[in-house]
Amino acid sequence: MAALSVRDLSVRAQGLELVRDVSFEVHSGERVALIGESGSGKSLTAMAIVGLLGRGLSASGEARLGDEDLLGVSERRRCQLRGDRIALIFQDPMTALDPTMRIGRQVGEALRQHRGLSRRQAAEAAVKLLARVEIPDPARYAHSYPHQLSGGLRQRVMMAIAISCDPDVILADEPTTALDVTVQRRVLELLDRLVREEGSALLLITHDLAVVSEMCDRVVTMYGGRVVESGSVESMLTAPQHPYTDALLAASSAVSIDGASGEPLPAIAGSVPAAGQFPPGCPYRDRCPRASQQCTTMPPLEAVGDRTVACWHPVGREEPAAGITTEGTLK
Amino acid sequence: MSAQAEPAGASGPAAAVAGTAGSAGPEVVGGPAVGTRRRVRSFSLVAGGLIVALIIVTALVALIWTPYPALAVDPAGRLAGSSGAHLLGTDQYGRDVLSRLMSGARITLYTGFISVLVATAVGIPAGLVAALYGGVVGQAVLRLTDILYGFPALLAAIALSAALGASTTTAMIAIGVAYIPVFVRVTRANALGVLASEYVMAARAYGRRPWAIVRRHVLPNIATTIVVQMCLLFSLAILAEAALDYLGLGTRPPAPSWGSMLQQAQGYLHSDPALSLWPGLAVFVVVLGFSLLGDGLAELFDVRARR
Amino acid sequence: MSGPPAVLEVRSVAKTYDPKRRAGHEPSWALRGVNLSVNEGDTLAIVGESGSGKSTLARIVTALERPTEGSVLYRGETVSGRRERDLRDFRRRVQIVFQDPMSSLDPRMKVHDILAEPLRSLGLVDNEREQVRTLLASVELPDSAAARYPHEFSGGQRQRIAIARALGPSPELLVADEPVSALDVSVRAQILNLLSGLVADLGFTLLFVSHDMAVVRHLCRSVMVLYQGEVVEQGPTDAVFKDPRAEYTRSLLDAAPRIRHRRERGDASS
Repeated sequence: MAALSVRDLSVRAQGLELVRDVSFEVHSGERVALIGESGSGKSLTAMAIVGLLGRGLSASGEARLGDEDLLGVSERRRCQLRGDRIALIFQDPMTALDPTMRIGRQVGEALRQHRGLSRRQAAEAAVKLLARVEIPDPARYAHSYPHQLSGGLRQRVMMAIAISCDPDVILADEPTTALDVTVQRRVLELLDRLVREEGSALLLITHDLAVVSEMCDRVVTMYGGRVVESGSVESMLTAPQHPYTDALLAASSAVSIDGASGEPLPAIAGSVPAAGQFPPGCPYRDRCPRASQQCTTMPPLEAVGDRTVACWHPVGREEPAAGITTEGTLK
Repeated sequence: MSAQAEPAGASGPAAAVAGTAGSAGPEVVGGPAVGTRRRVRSFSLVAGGLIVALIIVTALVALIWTPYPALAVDPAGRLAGSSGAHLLGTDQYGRDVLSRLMSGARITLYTGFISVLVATAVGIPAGLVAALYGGVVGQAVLRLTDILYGFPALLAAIALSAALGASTTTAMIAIGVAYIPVFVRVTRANALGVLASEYVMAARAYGRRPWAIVRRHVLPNIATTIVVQMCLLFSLAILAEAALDYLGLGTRPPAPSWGSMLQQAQGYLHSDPALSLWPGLAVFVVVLGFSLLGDGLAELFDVRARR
Repeated sequence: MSGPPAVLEVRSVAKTYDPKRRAGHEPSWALRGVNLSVNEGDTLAIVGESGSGKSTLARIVTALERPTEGSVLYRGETVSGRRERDLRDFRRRVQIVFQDPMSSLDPRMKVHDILAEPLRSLGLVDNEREQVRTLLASVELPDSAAARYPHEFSGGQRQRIAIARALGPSPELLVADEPVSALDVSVRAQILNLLSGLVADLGFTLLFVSHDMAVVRHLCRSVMVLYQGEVVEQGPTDAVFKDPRAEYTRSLLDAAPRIRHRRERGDASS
């Protein structure tokens, strides 16, 4: 059974559908990446799952954590589940940690809340957790405040908080984006180890395909608030079928330390439109070199092998048919 | 492969999502709550704006017309209650309360205006100097401000009135001076933020000198905060002026300021409570009006500045 | 060293923000003993992580900050420590692009004014509207952009505006401080293409500050690696990438994320 099962999740704000009919599953021990540019709806999807959407946003659909629907239960129950069975790691550990609370107490907080540990027990557990996330001298750091720690250490603290209650699902939103590369590498290795040890399901939200290739088993591509493709990491990163995944992959792999210099880079034309300004039909068709008249109606998500794709003209399944204009239909 | 200059959308949830075009910002912040916020904002803004407009109109009308001359004494009609002839009654000298309130509005606005002028004329340049020059000059400005700040505003005003003699002008200047530190601080804090921004760095890199940067970048970007602060000071100044008048340190009788009206009505609190009620209510409404306007503007600018 | 004369020269520059420096205790240095020489037409990368001092160096070579020690020379003339009024010519020749396209554009100015400001400031206005139009075209933005405010643009478009602003005075040296690190990969590629196109077309010298080895590899011919305020390695990009001398450079290269496929992944972890 899936640890987390999202069915037809939509997020609305004032009549605008920011996320539309998103469905995917994450099994225990599995790592799923949610990829896409900013504005593609990936973070909104994550926030909707844990019920942390901002004011004015409403979610519908289903997000099952085991046998409970996170969108259906009361806020009270959600609070019980959050931090206990589903844990969060945010991009910016500086703003996600309370600057006025000592590290040890913040780490022990979830245990006191969800496990009813006493202050003493929680403090002891916190030191152990800090040791598990490889913070040197955990007893000393437990008495520090967040601002006294480096970005990498703060992100480790976030991870300690996340695993404190042995969650079934860990949701990590760009956990290493704000970090230096050398630190990023070590933090990723730690996340990798923790997820393995906990046997948790990991939903990793990122725009970094290199991180995806190193961490994840499956990939879900979002664009314009929709899932446009999903599949195993091997197939998605070797033979993407949706032109958007393809373009993301091309843009990512062209800039590499092994790459050659001087060549023009493959880029995606234009930029992600603001919410509500995506074209009707396939949201990507304005920027897609393969778009045709057909794309004015939204293609269904079709399963092909281990893959689902929502595209009328998928890459690699060439039907040199009429209708595909390489010029695209910009405007 | 040219970039399309699609405008990213300027308001509401659209802006919230577009605003995170940087790599990985959470896509949830900002905009979506605009619906409720806009309603709240329009309430403070509209209510505050209406009250302030009403006071201004009243003060202007009072310049050319009041039901009776504000100073006209009528020994025969002392302490009359509300009637068709005197809508809000008359005071202990038989003067028409409504007429005095209307004339008082002018004094009140005048007080607020001059106080704000004094506070900003000194406070804003001083704040800019303190922000621009970190050295001895900046420190000197800040220390002076601290000293001034140490004085309770009202007490400083009383001291100045006592020294220069009680008059509307003294009261206005006193209140203005007392609020200089607030403007120094608000200006400095906000200017520092703007001066640290990368667009100011860029301006320096193409050779803009400090005061040109202040004019082109700092002032436009702190103007909104300053205007809001001015509204709030306006309401505080009116309140302080009323208090000074009440203490006999501001506008001298028989000039119809609301504060002095209150003070004179005090003796009749038991027999004629309405006499205290009207000027009190007037002060309350005006203060409320300017506070609301300040809040409303703050929210309006806040939403716009949210980008 | 023979060859063309250096456009920019940095001589044993050090910088500290420590105010207690004069009290005779050893300050913490943001930069220390930095030497650098940039030739005409070169594309040089300054690479480092947070705390390496790379942004400080960018601000020192653009005379936005003064070095505590050492000097900066532009075409043989000392720039550092000069008074602002003596820098007008330098200001025209050297321009800078910042990292964050959100905060590098004044939110209360229209794009037209943002682009016209450098021209006005340096007395280069000839036909303002036409000049702004040309600048917008050079970064592939339509004329209509001039009438809009920065918040109406996406991150990539804003960075184009910032680049156009820096191009206004036709600089000889462009310093770009992490210009693509706040952008999505797809947009990053656009901006990198734009930058390398501009370098090729306009022939300015580029000093590119970055933390991203992959981007540097793509864009720059030579590279300098900073670690905690000191230069640890310097040389042609190809050579540095092929055979890094400094341990730190090697760790940067090792840590650089790569897209690897499952087959390679087994040995990649740990």
